Amino acid sequence: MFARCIRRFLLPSPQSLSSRPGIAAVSTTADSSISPVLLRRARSIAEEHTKLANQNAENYDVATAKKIGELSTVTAALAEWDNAQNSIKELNSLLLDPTSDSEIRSLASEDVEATSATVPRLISLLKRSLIPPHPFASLPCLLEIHPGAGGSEASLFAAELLHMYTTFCANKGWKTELVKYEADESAPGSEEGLTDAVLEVTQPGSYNMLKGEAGVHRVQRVPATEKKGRTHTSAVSVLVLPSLPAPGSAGIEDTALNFEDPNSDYYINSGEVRAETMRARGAGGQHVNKTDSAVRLTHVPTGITVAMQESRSQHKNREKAWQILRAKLAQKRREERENELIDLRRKIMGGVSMTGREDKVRTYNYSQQRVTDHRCGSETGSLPDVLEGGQALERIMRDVGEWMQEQEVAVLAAEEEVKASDLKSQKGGRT
Amino acid sequence: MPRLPPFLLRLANREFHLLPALLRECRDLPSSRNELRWLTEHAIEQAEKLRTTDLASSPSRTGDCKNVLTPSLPSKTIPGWRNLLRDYVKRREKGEPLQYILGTQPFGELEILCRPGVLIPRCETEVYTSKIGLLARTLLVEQGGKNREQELGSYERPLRVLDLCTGTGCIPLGLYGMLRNPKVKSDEKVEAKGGGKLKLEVLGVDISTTALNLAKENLRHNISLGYLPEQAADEMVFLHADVLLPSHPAPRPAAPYLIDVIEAVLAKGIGKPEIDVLTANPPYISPIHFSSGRTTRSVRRYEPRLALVPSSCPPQSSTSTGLGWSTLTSSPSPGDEFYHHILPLAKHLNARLTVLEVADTEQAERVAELAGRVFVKEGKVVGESTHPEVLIEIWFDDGGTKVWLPSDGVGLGSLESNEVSARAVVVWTQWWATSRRQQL
Ligand SMILES: C[S@@+](CC[C@H](N)C(=O)[O-])C[C@H]1O[C@@H](n2cnc3c(N)ncnc32)[C@H](O)[C@@H]1O
Repeated sequence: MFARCIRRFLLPSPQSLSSRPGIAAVSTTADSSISPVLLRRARSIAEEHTKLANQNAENYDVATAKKIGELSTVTAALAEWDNAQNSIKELNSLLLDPTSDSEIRSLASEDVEATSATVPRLISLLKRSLIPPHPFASLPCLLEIHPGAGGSEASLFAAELLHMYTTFCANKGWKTELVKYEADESAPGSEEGLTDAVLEVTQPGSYNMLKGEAGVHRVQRVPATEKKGRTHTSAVSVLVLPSLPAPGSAGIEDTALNFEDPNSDYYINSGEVRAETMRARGAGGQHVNKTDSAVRLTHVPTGITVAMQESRSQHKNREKAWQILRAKLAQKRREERENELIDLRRKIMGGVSMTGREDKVRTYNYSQQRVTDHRCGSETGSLPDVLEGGQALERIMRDVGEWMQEQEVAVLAAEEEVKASDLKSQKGGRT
Repeated sequence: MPRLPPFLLRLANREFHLLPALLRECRDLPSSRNELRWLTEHAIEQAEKLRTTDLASSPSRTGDCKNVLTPSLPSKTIPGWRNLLRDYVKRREKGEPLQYILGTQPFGELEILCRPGVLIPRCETEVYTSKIGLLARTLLVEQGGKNREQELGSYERPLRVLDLCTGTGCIPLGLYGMLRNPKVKSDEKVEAKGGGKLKLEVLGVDISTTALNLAKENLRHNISLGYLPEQAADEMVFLHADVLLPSHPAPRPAAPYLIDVIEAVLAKGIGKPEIDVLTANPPYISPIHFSSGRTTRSVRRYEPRLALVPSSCPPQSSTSTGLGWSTLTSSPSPGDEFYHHILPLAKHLNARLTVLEVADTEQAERVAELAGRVFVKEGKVVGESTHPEVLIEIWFDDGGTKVWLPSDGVGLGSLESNEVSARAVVVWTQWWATSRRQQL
């Protein structure tokens, strides 16, 4: 308690700071440092924040207030870090000051330790606050699961992954709906595999939690049908798509996610979507009674198609098909934006991209009862718990999430470096 | 969408040996698979209902995800679903319509109860019904508010919809739902522009009391499901009446003549006895097409002939009613009879929008031609220049629209866009015609 008090008592006033360069009795360690480019970025955001706040004090504007809100996380994180840095400097100067008495010294050195201990956390907070929010972070999501190489083994494992995610969501109390399910017909009646499934997770923000699941999941095991006991490797690909709000839903009109707005990144011109129903062709009306309710949508410019036939209601099939089409297009456009940076990312991230739908992300090894995530190196020996969507899976997901954030920060720093050197060469060119 | 628990899909998939039986009616594997899944779903539901009514004290089966990998569960806890399913499939194999087995058919956002004795709503009808709903909304909300106020003057007449030959009531129920529960744009716009909340008066007419009872039940059913607001019970009426002229002598159930019933009802309402939207899906299959291969076995055997084939005697050329029948030819093609009665009625009631379902492109052609003669004085062309207040269109199964002009009308090929059939003849009049023309 006393230490806290003396620290407050000794807290530097802003003016007293500037004129004490080079005094650093306690230096921060390498992993708790922040690169100068990132710090510069944080400072310019904080400046912008102050400017806007002053502006709004005089002349209030909702849009500006919103912007201020967006910048405030960085500003607050930076202020906390600055505070800590300043305290450390101040305390260190006390320690170096020959006139300080021994009691003050011991208190100050205690405080230096306590404050320094908070620095890595503050740094990490500051870095994370700099990551621009993902546009889909707050959305619910759709998980699409397809077997890849490996025949019926792959389709079986696809069904197991579907089960894994379904129970994972149930464990978290998240509602899910199986929007689409196509059974593997190549081995009907035996064990059930699937060739295509879409699971809707209606929980807002589930996109953010599950986005790291996108990619190729590999299974290594001896299939039940394998006579010679050989281990097979099969692959299943998982796509994580944002579930965009339905047209006309409250609150989306002014957001970037309003795909009915031609200025939005996610705008879909309905004129470019071809809708086909199997039943529109041939004889119809009173003469026949068709029960076919299948709908297929094709987005002509990209060639993306979505077919739905689960419901007896064509109306509902159409709605679902639109939802999936919107999700696929939004994801695609988002990826296109990111593509500009992908080379840079690949360099930084050791060959694995953030979105990486072609990349092998995880292996489920049965003989060793082990699950390994190849991105963050996270590993667990509780394969059954993972496949039941339990704690072990959540732990892996969290590790992946951490890893993704680190990558984001690295990318951010790299981008800033590039910007800085561009600026320099521009200046150099001019003089 | 009903939740599709994975165990159900697995179950349906396991009953694959039943697929060949369904193939007879469905004709392709994907539809058979879908029907099998829907039948399985229904069998489990029914079995559970039977069980819970039998043993009132049984514990409820939860939709818990833990059950996902235990497909054997339902078979243990719900006795008999497999037997039910087998029975359903057998019935379906004999040609019984899926909807009579399941008891329902989705129609837009509604669930329509289906029972033997009443025609099952067709998907083609569903498609153009939602098109009518959208267009009517657009006219009323985006363009029509002002016009409508002027037109209605000081009193407030409700928007009136009349559906003839209503059967299950699917068309008026669907339209009511679309006009009353607008999903997309907010209701405020209607209120702001239309001067007060839109009032609706939606009427359905049928000669069959079986159909009328089912239509009324469908109204209640959809209100209880929350698909229609309570208000619908006050704003919708189903009437027993005969659409054909009293002088039309064919054998059919006795019912009061439509024009008398309608005028009595409209006279009680506010404003002129007029109709805004008139729809009809009347019996339109000619006896030849009924017995030829064009009408499927299932339809012929299981659905009421009264709903499909107009009674065979031609109407007598009559001038007695003063509705303008005298201008019509006295011997219409078999199958066209109802249009010869409905179109003059539409004109008489000043319908702004008339939509009549037809069998195919050829019938569309004849009915459009007839509409031209009824709505436009003889000798004049239904072109843009001479009759801006009447616009005739033909709608197709794929959602396509074609403006009908008598000059194009000679060659059928001009209307036939590959395999897609014409499905409705549409007549716009007065300012609705003008607005629609601007839209096109
Ligand atoms: C083809 S069904 C249409 C049912 C419903 N509108 C639909 O689209 O599903 C034709 C309906 O017309 C009715 N109907 C037959 N003759 C009639 C008549 N003379 N007057 C009124 N309704 C008649 C039948 O009872 C039947 O319900």
